[in-house]
Amino acid sequence: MMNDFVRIEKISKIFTPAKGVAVAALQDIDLTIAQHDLVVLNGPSGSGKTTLLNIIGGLDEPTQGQVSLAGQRLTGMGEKEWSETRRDHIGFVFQAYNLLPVLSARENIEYIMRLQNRTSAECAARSLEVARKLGIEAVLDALPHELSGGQQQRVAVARAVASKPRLILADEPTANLDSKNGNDLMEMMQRLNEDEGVTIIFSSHDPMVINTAKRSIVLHDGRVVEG
Amino acid sequence: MYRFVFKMALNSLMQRRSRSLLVVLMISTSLWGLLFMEGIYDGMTEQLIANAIRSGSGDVVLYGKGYRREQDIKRAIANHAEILQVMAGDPRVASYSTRIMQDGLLATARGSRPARIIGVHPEMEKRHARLDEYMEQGEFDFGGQGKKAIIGARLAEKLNLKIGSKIVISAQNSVDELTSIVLRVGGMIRANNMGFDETAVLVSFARANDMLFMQGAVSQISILLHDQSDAHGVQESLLHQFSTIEAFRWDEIAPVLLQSRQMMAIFNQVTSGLVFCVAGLGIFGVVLVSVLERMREFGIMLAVGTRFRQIGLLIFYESMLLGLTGFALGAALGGSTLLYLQSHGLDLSLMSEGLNAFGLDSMVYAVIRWNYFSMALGAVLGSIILSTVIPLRILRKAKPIQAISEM
Amino acid sequence: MFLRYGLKNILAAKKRTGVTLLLSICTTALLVFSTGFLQGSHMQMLKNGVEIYPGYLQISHRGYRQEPGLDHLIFGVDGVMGQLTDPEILIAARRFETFVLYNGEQKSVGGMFTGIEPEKEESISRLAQSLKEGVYLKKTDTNTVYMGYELARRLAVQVGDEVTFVGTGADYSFAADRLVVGGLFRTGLFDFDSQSAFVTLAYFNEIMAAENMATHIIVQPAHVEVAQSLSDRINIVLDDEYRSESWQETMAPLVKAMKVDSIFNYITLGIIFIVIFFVIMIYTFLTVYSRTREIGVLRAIGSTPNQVLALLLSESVILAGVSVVVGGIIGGALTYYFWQNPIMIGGYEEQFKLYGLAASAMPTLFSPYLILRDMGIMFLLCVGSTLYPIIKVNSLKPLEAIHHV
Repeated sequence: MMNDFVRIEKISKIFTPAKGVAVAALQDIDLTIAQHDLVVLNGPSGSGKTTLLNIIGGLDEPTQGQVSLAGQRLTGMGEKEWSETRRDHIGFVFQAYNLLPVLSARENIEYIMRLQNRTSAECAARSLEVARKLGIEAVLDALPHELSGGQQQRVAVARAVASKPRLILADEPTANLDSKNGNDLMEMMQRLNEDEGVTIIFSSHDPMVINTAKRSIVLHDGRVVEG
Repeated sequence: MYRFVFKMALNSLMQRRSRSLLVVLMISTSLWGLLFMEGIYDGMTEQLIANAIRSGSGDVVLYGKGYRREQDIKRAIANHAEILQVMAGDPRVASYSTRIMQDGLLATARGSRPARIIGVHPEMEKRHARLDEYMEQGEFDFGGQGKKAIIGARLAEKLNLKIGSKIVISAQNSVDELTSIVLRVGGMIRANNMGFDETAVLVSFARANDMLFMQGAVSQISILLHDQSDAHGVQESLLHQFSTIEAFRWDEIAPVLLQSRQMMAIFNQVTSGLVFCVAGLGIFGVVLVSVLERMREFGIMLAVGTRFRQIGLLIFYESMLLGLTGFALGAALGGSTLLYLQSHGLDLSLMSEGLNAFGLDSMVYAVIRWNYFSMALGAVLGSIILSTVIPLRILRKAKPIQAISEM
Repeated sequence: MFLRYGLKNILAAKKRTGVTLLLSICTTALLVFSTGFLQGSHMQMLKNGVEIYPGYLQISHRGYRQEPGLDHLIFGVDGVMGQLTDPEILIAARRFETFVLYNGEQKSVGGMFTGIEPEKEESISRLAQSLKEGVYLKKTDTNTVYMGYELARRLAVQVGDEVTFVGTGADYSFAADRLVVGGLFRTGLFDFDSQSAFVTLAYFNEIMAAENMATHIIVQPAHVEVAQSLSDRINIVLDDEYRSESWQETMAPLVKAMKVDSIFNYITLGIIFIVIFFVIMIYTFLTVYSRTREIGVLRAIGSTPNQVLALLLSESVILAGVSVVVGGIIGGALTYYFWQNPIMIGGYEEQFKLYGLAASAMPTLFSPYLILRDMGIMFLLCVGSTLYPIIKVNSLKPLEAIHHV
């Protein structure tokens, strides 16, 4: 079980535009990802990294195949079940940070825990704990637009891990950051992976970032070519 | 170039389909509502006035000198033949009618009510006020010897009169004697002119002449014109030619009618103004947001050599398209609704009792005036221009060309 | 949490908040005030109409309204008066109405000739208050007539002059006498002032042979609001021949005319409201759509569609709530003010006379129930007008929303 925490079976995704030819973004992907792993999806633009992450997170539906998490089949679930699964088990980190603009850093971090109806004390303690690990405890009361890109992305990571999900999906988390900030972020992700035991799958085509992963899966034209 | 910019404007509106649709719908439904309201309300006012004029004074009314101040039957018009001859030759006059009028009492075996005895020539009234169209029951006819009377519908209700009921009408004649005649009810008339419906007792001219000892004189000559706006001229020329009469326009006889027309016009204008101010705010919001969120797009356009004026034109076209589509749709819907209601009328018989109390028929015919549309178009164009100018100024200050480098 | 988050969004979206608040507040205030004004002016007109002469409660012969004649009198009116023992009855007065022909020096005019109990009428109708010249009737008066100002004008008579009348007595006999004009009244109801004249009932009974008869008994309830239920109770006591009618029944045409007036006023308001709701909808649409991406993120990190809906709705609810409360207070305050200080409608007396109304002071009606009702309606409409954009944006899939530009 431990070795197939995330199980991806025969996943294909074909985009059929209204005009023009159908494009296969993913073709027959078979993958398993172990618990506590830190995996990078690696490949050039258009290789299908983001599509695969979106399918694992339920933001997109595969044309074929299925995904399961900890033995539970996810593909084919309804909107509400997917929302709950994302809320309780999956954390998201976006390339463009996507913090909620009117909420402070602290409120952004606490948001998912609030959705889970945790007590205020619990939320406060946990958000402070995560913020310390990520070195953003000083800016907790700032609004997103008052923060630098690096800080914003750390808040986004803090938001993703605060509710203790079992899986974090991060789509090109360092793409908008300079190399210093990018490296710092990846170090922190590594630490979280070890301290909190959370499984992390991220996509990137930055060689430096790729090196921090425990396992690298290379995609090309929608197929797994390595890993 | 204009065609190209126009095409861009169209595309950009299509991209923001939902909000464009909302704006168009907003303009068209509010215009529709406004046109409906204006047409129906004006229709009601005109009906009120028309009912009062037709069954009452006419556009211009002539009395014997001093009659208006003191309604004495002795102050009658004796030289009416001469006056009628003049009017027959006046192309402005559509029709006229001579009447004898005197206040008196209508009595039955069971009760009595004050009444206004009106002696008329039925054929003349059919041509003139088309009083026969107002008949509710019975025929517009006084019988061979003028032994029938036509009673105002409200008066008939109050005295519970039926066709054939015997009535006694009493009044003072021109030599100050109290006279009475016995007649039978030949019909009921409802002109939705309250005063008329509540008091009128129409009798044949000959009967009234005998009863009131008029010796051929008439109390009133009611005149209808082809064009109401000639009233002043006709009044002046008649006064000039005949020193034995006094002449009044309908708005002098019933200033309250003119006042209600003016009040309705003001009321309509205030309502339209309010609606267009709010609608303008809606157009403004949409144009402003669509300018602000395209800062980058405009930046790129400027960077590749588009002139600011052309961007202004683009935005202007966009708001123009929105505004005019909304206007066209609203004007078409409202116009066709009014056209229908002008010919078929709006049946409000559910509220007829309440409407009758206001002097209105239960069938209301809409009025269509060009200024409904021209005023609305002016308001729409005004809002469009305002909604373009302000966002453009904001855009110019924001220096969109810098916006691209920030991304 | 959603409430706080919603509140922050409201504060952040200043344009939407400003426009929505402004419009909804004005609309609510407008609706509340219009209702107060409409109801108030209608009630005032009815009150005038009722109190000037007809009274809150009339007892008459069952057939009188259909055929107001000598066949349908209240015969043995003293006995009927004796039946009126309900404690809610403040006072009851007899009236005998008939129509006669009045003859002045030069002119004859038909008009109403009515016998009344002058001292009782003082607490029932406004006849005594409407005195314009001369004096009101005294109980002991005989052939003194208290005449409408317009009627006197038509007859060309003044206080102190003589008029004669000719009419039919209660026994169908010919009745005529000389009257002396003792006083003139003007109520403002043109028709009434130009058709009515009053003498004491005692004199009337004698001259018209109408002893122990009347056309009406007018009852003044201690509390006018309960006129209808009092009328119902009186009907149980009365003989079958007679019936009691409250002002709602006797003034039915006027009540209906008021209803028509209300309907057209609400149509006009409705048209103004339609465009206001479109504008609120448009501004909500613009704001909500500018946040599409944020909504996508909310969904991606685990908010259910219902939670997002709750968030967006809570924003509308807060905005609508604030506007309705503020608008309600403004509208309510205006209504209250004009309730205490009636609007004087000068210059429109002519217009009102046309409709048989005599009212130049129009108080609004300050009714908490109506204010709350209008606030409730506005609240629903304000929230309702935001539903379309909210539901539309919320129906986007999370991925579409995140990639929305």
